[in-house]
This record gives sequence, C-alpha cells and structure tokens, in this order.
Amino acid sequence: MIVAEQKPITDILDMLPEGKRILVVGCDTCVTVCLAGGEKEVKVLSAALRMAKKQFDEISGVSIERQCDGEFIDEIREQVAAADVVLSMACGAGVQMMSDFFPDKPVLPALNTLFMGSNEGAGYWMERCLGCGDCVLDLTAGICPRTRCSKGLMNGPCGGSENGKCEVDPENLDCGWNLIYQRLKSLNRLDAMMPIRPPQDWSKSHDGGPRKLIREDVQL
Amino acid sequence: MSDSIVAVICDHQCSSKGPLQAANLTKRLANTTTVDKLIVLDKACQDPEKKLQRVAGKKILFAGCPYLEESGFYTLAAEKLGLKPGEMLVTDIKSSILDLYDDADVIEENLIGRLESLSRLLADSVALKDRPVKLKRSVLIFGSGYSGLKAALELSGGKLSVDLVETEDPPLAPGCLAEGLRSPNLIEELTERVRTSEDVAVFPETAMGPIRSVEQGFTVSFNGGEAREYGSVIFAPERTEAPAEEIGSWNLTQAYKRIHEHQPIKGRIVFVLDRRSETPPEVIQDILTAAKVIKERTNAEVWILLKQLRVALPGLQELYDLTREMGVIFVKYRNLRLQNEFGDFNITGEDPQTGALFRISNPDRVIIPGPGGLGASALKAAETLGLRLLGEQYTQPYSLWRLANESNHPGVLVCGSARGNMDGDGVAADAASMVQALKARMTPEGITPVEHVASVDAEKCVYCLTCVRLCPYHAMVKNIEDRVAQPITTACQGCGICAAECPAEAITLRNLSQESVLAAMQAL
Amino acid sequence: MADSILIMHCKEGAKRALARMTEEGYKLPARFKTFELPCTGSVNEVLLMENLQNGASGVIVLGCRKENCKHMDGNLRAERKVARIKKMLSEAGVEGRFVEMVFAAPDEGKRLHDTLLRLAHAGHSEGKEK
Repeated sequence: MIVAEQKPITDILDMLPEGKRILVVGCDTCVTVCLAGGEKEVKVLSAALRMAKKQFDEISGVSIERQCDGEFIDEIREQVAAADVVLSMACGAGVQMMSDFFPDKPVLPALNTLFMGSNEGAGYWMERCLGCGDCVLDLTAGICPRTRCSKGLMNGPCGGSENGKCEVDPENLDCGWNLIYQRLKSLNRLDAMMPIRPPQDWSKSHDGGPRKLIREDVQL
Repeated sequence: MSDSIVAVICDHQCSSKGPLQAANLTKRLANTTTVDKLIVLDKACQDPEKKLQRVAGKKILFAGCPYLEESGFYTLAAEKLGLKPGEMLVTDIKSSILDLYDDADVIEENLIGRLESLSRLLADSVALKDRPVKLKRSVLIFGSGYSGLKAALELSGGKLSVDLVETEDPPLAPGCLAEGLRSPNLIEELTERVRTSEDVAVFPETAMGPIRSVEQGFTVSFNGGEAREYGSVIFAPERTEAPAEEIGSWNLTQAYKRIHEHQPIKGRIVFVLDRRSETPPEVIQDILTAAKVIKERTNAEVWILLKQLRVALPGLQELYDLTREMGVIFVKYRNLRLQNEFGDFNITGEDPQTGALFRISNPDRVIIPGPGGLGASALKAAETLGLRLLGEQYTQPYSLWRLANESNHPGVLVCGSARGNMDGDGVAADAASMVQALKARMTPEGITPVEHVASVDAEKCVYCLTCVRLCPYHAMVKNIEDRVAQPITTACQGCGICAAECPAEAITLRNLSQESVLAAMQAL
Repeated sequence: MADSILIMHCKEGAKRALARMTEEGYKLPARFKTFELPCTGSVNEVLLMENLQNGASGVIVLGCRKENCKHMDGNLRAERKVARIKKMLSEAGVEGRFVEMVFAAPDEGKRLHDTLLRLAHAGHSEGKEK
C-alpha cells in the first residue's frame, strides 16, 4: 500500500495562511493504515492547529473514504465551499485530485508520500515497489533488484557487497543481490542468475508525463 | 430516553472533616439533567442491609470510600437491588475528593462534577445481557514440578476432572533445590500423592499427541488413545538456569548442588547481580533465599552486589531488610570489574554515592545467576498449546495481577506461573493463585464478558490487523469471512488498548465509548 | 473545566497510588481533577488533544510503574503517545498547556505528590518545562 508520513507541524504551519478558515481532510484508506492521515490524525492535527501560536479563523476536520475517487470528494463540496484553504491529509494522488476538484481553493499537502511498501510489523513499513512498470520478480525469486539493490543492478552484486551488506550502509542495509542469490539457492534456481539481462526499459516507468492505464473493455 | 439515575452517597461521618453537607448537594444536583435523585446514607458501612432498604432505582451511581468496596457493600447492593453490570457505577470519593482537597467549596464543586460526569457515563450504559459461555469442567496441567503437583491436588476431588502431564526429569531450578533443602522429600511426597490419587490421571509428556480445537475447548489424546476433552489448561513449567557467563563463577544451581552434596562452602561468597543485564525480580528472590541458606548453614561471609540504578525495584526493600537482619553485606556498585587471572580473583567497583572505590580480593566464590528460561519440552508444549511466549519466557512475568485468560482456542482458559520464581514460598503462592484464578472464571454459570468488552464496527474496520497483533490477551482474531477483526468476548479484559490504537477508530469498549468518556471528562 | 489539570489514571496501580497519597495526608490544589480509566493504554492522542483544546490547561496521564502494568504494556504505549503530543504542542508553539506522563506505585505517596505539583507549576510558567 501507499505509505506516507505527516510533515513536521512547523512546515504545515508555515504553509497555512494566517487568519483563514482551514478545512482538514483525511483519507480512510492507505494513510489511515500507516497512521498518517486518517480520522484520528485529522482530529489531532485540527486540535493542534486550533491551539497553535499562529492563529487561524476556523479549523474544521472531516475524513472521506478515499481522495483518489471523485465520488467521495463530491460528498464534501459544501464543507470545502465554507473554507478558504484545504489541508489534505491524503497521499500525493489524493491531494492532486482534490485540487482538480477545487481549482479555486489552495489545496495543501499535510503529508509527504514516501513509497509503495509492506507492513513488516506493528509500526514498521518498508519500501518494496518502485512502480517501474516492468516487473522482473519472477527472475529474482521475489526480491526486487530495483528497490533492494542500491544501484538497481540487473545482473548480480557489485564489488561493494561484503558480508551480505551493501557498502552504502554496511551496518543496516542488506545487499539486495545477496538476498536474491540466497533465495534462488534455497529454491534450487540458481540457473536463473546465469543469463545476462539487458538494462531495464525505463520508458515503462515514470517517463514523460503521468502514466495512464486504460481498459477499454471497462470504459463506458 | 435513558433511565433515571439515582446517586447514592455515603455521608462519610468517619471523615476528619465531619459528615458531608448534603442539603447543598441536593439543591445543586436538582439543576442538573443527569442525576434525578440523591440519596444520602448515614454511615453506609454500618448495618448495610438496613441502609440499602432506602435505595431503589434502575441505574445507580454509588459514591463512597475504599472500605465500602473491600467490605462487599457494593456487591451486596447489586444483589439486593438486582443491578447488573452496566446498571451501576461505583466511585471512590473519599481518596479522590474528600481527602484530596482542603477547601469545602472545592470539595463540593468536585463532588458535583464527579456525580455529573459519571452519571453521564451511566446514562449511556447498557446492562449486560450476555449469556455465560459454558466451559468444560476438565483441566489439563502441564508440568509435574512443585506448582503443577500442588495445583493438581487442590483442584481434584471436586467437580473438576484433572489430568496431569508429567514432564521428563528436568534439571532442577534453584528455588526447587532450595526447597529441597528445607523439606528433602517434598517433591517425592507430592508426586506420590498425585500418582496414587484416584482423581488425577497422570500421563507422561512423551505420550502427548497433538492438540485439537473443539467448540469451547480443546482435545488431546495420549498414547494414540481416545481424545480427552478439556476446558482449561494450567501451564506450570520448570524454569532452568543457564550457566553464569563469567569464567570461574557459579550459577545458583551449581551453588545449591554443592550444598546438597554437603560440599564445603566457606570464606567469602559474593553474589553479583545485574552483571550483563537486569536481573529479573524472581531471580532476586532466589538470591535472597540462597543467601539465607548459606548464612544459616555455613560460616561464610556473604556479599550481595547490585548495580546502582535500580531504584523502584520490587523486592529491593526485602533485600535491604534481610541483608541487615542476616548480616549479609549489601553493596551498590557502579563500574564493576571482575578480574580473574590465573586463579587470582578480584572484584573492584565504585560506590555510587561517594565515588569511593572498593575491592573484594579473592572471594572464595562468585555466584552470578544465569539467565533463566523454559526447558525444551516446556517450549514445545507451549507451542502445541498455542500459548504466547515472550522469547523463551512464559508470557506472565513479575506480577501476580495477571488473571486466567483464554488462549486462541475459544473457551479455553490458560493459567501459568505468575511469577516464574522458584523459591518454595513463591511457587506455593503461584500454585494457589493459578487455582484461584481458574476457579473464579470457571463459575457454575460459565464465563461472561467483562463490562468494558471491546466490539468492532465492521463498517469502519480496515482489517489492518493492528488490534490482532497487540492485544495482550490474544483476544482479537481475524474474522476471515467478513474480513474484519473480531474479539473473543470472554477473553477480552476490557483494557482498551485496541480501541486506543485502532487507526480507523473502529473499536469501542462497551459502556465506555470515546464520546461518552470525553463528555464525562468535560463535565468534571 | 477551564484551567484545570486533568489526571487520567488507570484503575489499578495508579488509582491505589492516588489513594495512598491522600491516606498519607497529601492534598492537591483545587484545579486538579481525576478521571479513572481501565488502563492508561486506553488513552489515545485524540483524548489528550480534545481535552486540551476544550480548555484544560494540562493533562497528566498517570499509570502504573513500568513493569507493573496488568495489561503488559498499556502504560508504555501511553508514554509514547504523550511524548508525541508533547513534541507536537511544542513545535506548534502552543502556550499555557501541557501534557505529561507519570508512573506511580502504591508505595510512593510523597513522590507522587511532589511530581504532580512540580508538573503543574512548570506547566503554568512562561517558559516551556524541560
């Protein structure tokens, strides 16, 4: 899922214009699960803004199911109309969608969107997927060479791999290719490492404007 | 419209400030929307049956002192007035209002606030109508050490059927060895009594087959025979001690072995605590016992060294008292060094208060308790029984406050060594508390959920599994069909941690929702 | 409720600690109020913030001593939440309000009393405490 974290409140306060009516909008999906922008966080941030040294006119808070689907944004049109500024606690996709819907209002991001990742345990999320558009996980035993290898190499580790660690951070960072090697070994598939793979086709990743996915069979 | 609320308040004649001025209170409460009637009882603790005759109401808020709670006044009231949980609230106004403030006006203000606040909570409360969950009245006890044997004897012979799983001959833990010095045949006697008892069936651990969950319980078959059904399990494993890590030193078990074998212990014996990691309280108990034993039986000079930082330590007061009584030398240290060079042993350290250095030259023996843990067979059994372990320690360290709780097999009660220390008295207390906890839950009626049991709003739940992971009682499980979290209502202890942590605010505690708590806090 | 200091405490060790404190004759100034919860683990950030926002000048979360929580780690969770909110309040420049975590056991009447008074005093002074 998408993992994001709240900006420091000092940054949020810098963004917000003094004396205005602020509507804080949360999102009940990804950012709720990573504890950044759900209903609870809306209440807490709203309370902090009301008590902050910098003064605003009125702070209201609301949360919708998703900010990346217009039908939900529609539900809060009235609340947005009654505010001067919208502070969105959704991921970047949500903030942009909200801004599209309300082009005449400043829509500000309360979060920094970080990555697509997995929940490794309570309170611990890790980046897993870059969205490169050209998945090779079948060749690398389910371990991504783009996210797990610091250099995004396609054909095995570089000279900076020592004791299974990456030279970028030898104490904490595993060498992705060592992980791939070990797992291929336990799957008895070391042969998968033998063919030399060509460099990735990065044109399938973010390249020249926003990527789109269109399913004509579903479009009306 | 919610039911009317009657507030019953004791006039606290015993208070140093004199009895409560009820007239003012009545007048002020008449202006509130939440309390409909105020009844003042004169000296509620005296002749409670008679006093309670004046009380009637559908929902009652009692305000009294801790003694009323301890003496069973409120239990009596609930019985007499037919009040179920959710229909009454109890608050201690003596400690937290009458004795807390000086000024009479402030006291009155706070009394009104408290009554208004709690009556708001009570107004929204619903009476508990849950039907009790029946438990099979059979217990499986894992562990044939002292506490397992004691528990078996205490529980058997009544309406409960008791099976005991005999563990293989484990290396004895220090406390057991200490107990063995006091009553050398204790374990043998208990084992004999259990074996010959007609009410306890004993099985060797090797004969234990896999556990299967059934409705309201679990089954185990022994020696491939017919599956035996249980409603609860008592897990009473042995705690083994790993060797001390310092060269040349003994752990407690080794020290005791020498005593048992009548080998001489003389000269200067130094116990070192907190050597590499914090010594758990149960081990400190064991050390005290060992120091006592050595002082009683030998002419040795006994020292106990403890790292300076331990201020609020359970057992510390005992340590001070005992060491004074027994003439054991007790020293707190900072920066301790143990030098063991070719048989020349020196201990040097700093007195944390004065900074002065001290040295203990060539103690005859240094005893450092080794880290404790569960033996291999106990670990396997815990796994088989689905018990929650913290590392290799059973999950109920330190506090005797932990009550019996259910495992993930619904309808199964799990009790375990509450403290884990193996000193004879501690173990006896363990066994007794486990038995008590079990009996308290296995009432003839069965188990009912606690008043503040958690419930999950399926619409709001995002199935993030946070509550499932952090419930201390493993009372939250995944409802795989509906894709939401779901509480095992008889396991839930109403602590509210799940509700606080739920990212989607999907969990509420019965009769203690966040809204009503906030409203009640506002009314103070 | 304005200007009051709300002590949210658990019904286990913390409640006994308060009772013991009053038994030993220690009193608190008028602005302190108390509210009982099953465990301090049931306190979340919303409860803290809304009380402050609604006028309380301070919130003290009073839990059992660290190794004594009946529910294992409720008091530790509360401690972490209090720390987060403290940081947020400080960074947002919120003045005249505070939130603090206190651990207590039933044998510490005087220490508890001293701690509560010290926190209330520090919370009210101009400069931010600690």
